[in-house]
Amino acid sequence: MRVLDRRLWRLVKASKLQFGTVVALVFVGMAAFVSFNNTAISLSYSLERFYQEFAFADLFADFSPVAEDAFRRLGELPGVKAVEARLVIDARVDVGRKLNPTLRLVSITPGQKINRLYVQEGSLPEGREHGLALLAKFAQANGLKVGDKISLIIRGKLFPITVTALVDSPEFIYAVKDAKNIFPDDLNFGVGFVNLPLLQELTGLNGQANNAILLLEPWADPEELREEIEDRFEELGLKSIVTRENQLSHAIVSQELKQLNQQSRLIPAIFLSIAAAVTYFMVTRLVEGDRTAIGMLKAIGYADKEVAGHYLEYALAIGFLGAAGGVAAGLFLGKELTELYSQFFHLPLLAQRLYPPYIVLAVLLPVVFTGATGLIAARKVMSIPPAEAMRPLAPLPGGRSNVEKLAPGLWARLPFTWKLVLRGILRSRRRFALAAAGVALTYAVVFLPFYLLGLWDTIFREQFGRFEKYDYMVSFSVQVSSAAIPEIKGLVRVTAIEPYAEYPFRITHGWREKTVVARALPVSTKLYSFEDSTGKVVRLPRFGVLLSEYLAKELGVEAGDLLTVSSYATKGVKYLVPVKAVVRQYLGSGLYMSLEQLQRLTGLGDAYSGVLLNSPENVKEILQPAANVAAVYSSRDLSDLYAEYGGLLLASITVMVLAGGLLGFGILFNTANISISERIREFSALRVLGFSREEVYGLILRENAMALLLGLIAGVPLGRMLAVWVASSTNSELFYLPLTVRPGTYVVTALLVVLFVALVMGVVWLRVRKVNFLEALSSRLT
Amino acid sequence: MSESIIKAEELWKVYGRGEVSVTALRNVSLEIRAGELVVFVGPSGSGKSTLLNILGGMDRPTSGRVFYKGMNLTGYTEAQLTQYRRREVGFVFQFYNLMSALTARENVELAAELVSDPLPAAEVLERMGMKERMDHFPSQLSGGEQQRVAIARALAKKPSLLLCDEPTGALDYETGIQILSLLREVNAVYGTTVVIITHNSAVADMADRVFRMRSGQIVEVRENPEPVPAERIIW
Ligand SMILES: Nc1ncnc2c1ncn2[C@@H]1O[C@H](COP(=O)(O)OP(=O)(O)OP(=O)(O)O)[C@@H](O)[C@H]1O
Ligand SMILES: [Mg+2]
Repeated sequence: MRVLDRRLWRLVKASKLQFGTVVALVFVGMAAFVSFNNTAISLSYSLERFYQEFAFADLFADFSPVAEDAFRRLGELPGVKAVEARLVIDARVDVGRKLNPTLRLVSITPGQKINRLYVQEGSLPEGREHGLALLAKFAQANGLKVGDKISLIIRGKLFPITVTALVDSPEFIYAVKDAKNIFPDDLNFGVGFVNLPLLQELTGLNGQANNAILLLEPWADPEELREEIEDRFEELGLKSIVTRENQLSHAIVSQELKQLNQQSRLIPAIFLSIAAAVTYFMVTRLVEGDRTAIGMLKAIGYADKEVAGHYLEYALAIGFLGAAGGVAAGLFLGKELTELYSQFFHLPLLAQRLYPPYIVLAVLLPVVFTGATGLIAARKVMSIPPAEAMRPLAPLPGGRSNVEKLAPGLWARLPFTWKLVLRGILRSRRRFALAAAGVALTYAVVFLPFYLLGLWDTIFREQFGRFEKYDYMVSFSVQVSSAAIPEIKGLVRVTAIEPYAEYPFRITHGWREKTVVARALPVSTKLYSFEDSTGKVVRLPRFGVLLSEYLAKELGVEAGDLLTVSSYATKGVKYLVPVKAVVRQYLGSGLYMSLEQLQRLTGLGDAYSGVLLNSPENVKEILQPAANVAAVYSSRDLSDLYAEYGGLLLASITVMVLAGGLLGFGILFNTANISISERIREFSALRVLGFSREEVYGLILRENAMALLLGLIAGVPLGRMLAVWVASSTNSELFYLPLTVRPGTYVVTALLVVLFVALVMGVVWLRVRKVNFLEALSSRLT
Repeated sequence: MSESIIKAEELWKVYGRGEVSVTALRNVSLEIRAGELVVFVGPSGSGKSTLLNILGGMDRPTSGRVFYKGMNLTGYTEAQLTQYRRREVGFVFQFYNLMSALTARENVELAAELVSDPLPAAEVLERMGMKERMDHFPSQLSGGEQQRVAIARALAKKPSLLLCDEPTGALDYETGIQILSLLREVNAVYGTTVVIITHNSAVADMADRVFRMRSGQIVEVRENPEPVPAERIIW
């Protein structure tokens, strides 16, 4: 088969661009497959290992400070392997900058069995030594080293302490303050680990703890235990309890992993199936064009299988070359991607790992895919008899199309060129369908990133501009009375100020149950604004509650339903409250009520968790020294962070748009070329009739314009479907993506797709310019 | 007189069914002897190509039998027919059917690779007068030159039977004569049995025997005791 192989190679060389684009489709698909899969596997492997070796807890519970001993009861529950009582307090730390970063102080004990720390450098503080271990990324961001002395600021008091170690913790792989701060800000938020007795002393909470972490037996069901603890420890001051699944760091990391896994399937699937379809049509065209040659090969003694194998090889070459390149690029990109993740995830054991099964799969998949469609196309060789070699060229295909038969009147009125175009399309309907499908898919693939970008903008403009109108949120370490408001007014020039209270509740609806921190606001709130899912403004009701869309969906609640709520303050007593409306919330999820409603449910009087305020001043700096201020959130800072991370999104958008362009190019360029070579004799005949080269090209242009039009029409709903799918699989307690698409997104996507098609048509024109039509008419060479 | 290389008995070939059926061969029987050069003449549509295809194992008769060296081809499986075409038969087509992406030499090698002891491609091409143009692509060759390459391709497999369907049909007079004398030379040098189909009765003069066909039947078989050398044929 040596000579036939040589012919194959020359065929490939003669149609480099066509062959190359299909190879590129496989290449992109497999590069995505290998890099995403390898990254996902590397991440989940390192994660699993870190969790395993450092005993990541199964349950996390927050309490009001109570005596340490009270936690021992948790350990007696069946299924609990170990329990650790901790003190967790947010403090500030003076690192010599103007603004003191927030440092979450978490107590540790020597020989601790749960959430153990991975020591990168130094050693954990011992006994009552005034030392602390810092989360390594925070230390790096702030230029802190082992041996440095820093000052903790707890309730306005300074406590000097020495950094004894830089560590990583399975609990803070993704270190963010709370669900609202979904982007890590290592400069302004960190975690410090201090021995329990010392932390108790520093906080004045001697002998007390406010947090418990539990490690379960392998057979225990965390969800069941969570419910049991909720039931039995409410009076003890249980504020909230979450399983590992809902622990912030873990939830974000696994969300990311889920997306990575999704992409590792979606992108290769799109690219591979398109590559396989294009391969099918390419091989079909090759076989059709080679009818006489195939007859000749059979006549001189080549067996059917050998001849079919010749064409199959063409298809396999596409799969194999694309796969080989894709695997190589995927391994490289996988490394880069893992690298990128290590900037966000504090995973000490994160390393790029090679997974041979995936690499084998990455080579096999495309070879099997393109091979299978290539084989289907190559099987047509079987039906070509050897005597075909004897026959003169087949006459040009003719016959009336269905349109002619069904609507002769309409047909008669069509200009001649359009008749030619329509006949051409109807004669090769399936290929035309592929071209239109190519346009539609390109539209969808390009649409998705623009939709996400628009969403990004919508989310943070609406969340921080329309829904939450305050500039600053000041939270207190200990609840305050309304007397705090004039006090703050004395410190800061405010243009608006409102108190708020936060309180954890268990809410149940039917068999569904959730623990959430409710936020209570004044009925007349001007710093918060609510909208239902239709965009209608909803006022905060005096009685009853508002639920965010995600929570409502999770609980199966609609406006007008009754919810059962209870909390440690109600001492287990359950209340029924009506849901007045389901409201939009893109970041986090929430339960909102009036301060009156909260007071009714809890019996708490004039007590607030913090204030929301607007001020032209830098409230963060001004309130920093205030003793009872736990944290000051600035909406501005949050939206700045959003903008910063939006840059990352932009990079991935560029990649997606390019990939979409390649998809469109690969399909259209090939279908156009196939169409030309199939109809070359027809075109030649037209040239003889007096058609100019431009007029012949005009026919091809019209055919593709039809495909473009159809593709755009189909692409709009397809793009939306893809967007809905991605959005709904992203939605979680952390994010709720609205399905609103800006009209501009449709337009920009359409323009880009038209641009891609124009590019293809430009390249096709270069080819048409070179075709020797007259030779094509007479040549018998194959 | 040597023994028969191929023998056909009562061949019928009917294309299609019912009203639209065409009977291309009606009860054709013939015998060709090893080493002979025979010519089939007859008007268009008389069944010449149909018969040649059946003799060459490219097609099967509707009824009747074909024996090649005593073996019944009609009972062969597809795979056996492929082997028969590969080992025993060489084809020369009216339109040469060279592969455009392969050079003259490669086109010959394409066939040579099929058998275990082929003639070297260069040698056959040289014999066909194509030594200088071996590495040219078909598009760079004239029709006559392409047909020489096509004959070389058929010969490289050292076939016992060379079947040529209007080998000069697409060529001018001069070139046609050259090709015919080449075929005669092949017959003399390699002892290959050569079957040539033509419209042209004048070509019949160079054959050892002439079969005249009309309407799917052999209407005349004529022996030429003194075949005329191809160069002296005039039409
Ligand atoms: N595949 C086919 N299907 C139907 N009819 C066929 C087929 N091949 C040949 N025929 C018919 O069989 C008859 C004999 O055809 P054949 O090609 O053998 O004639 P021929 O003598 O070679 O003619 P020519 O000199 O024109 O090549 C013709 O009437 C032809 O139309
Ligand atoms: Mg014929």
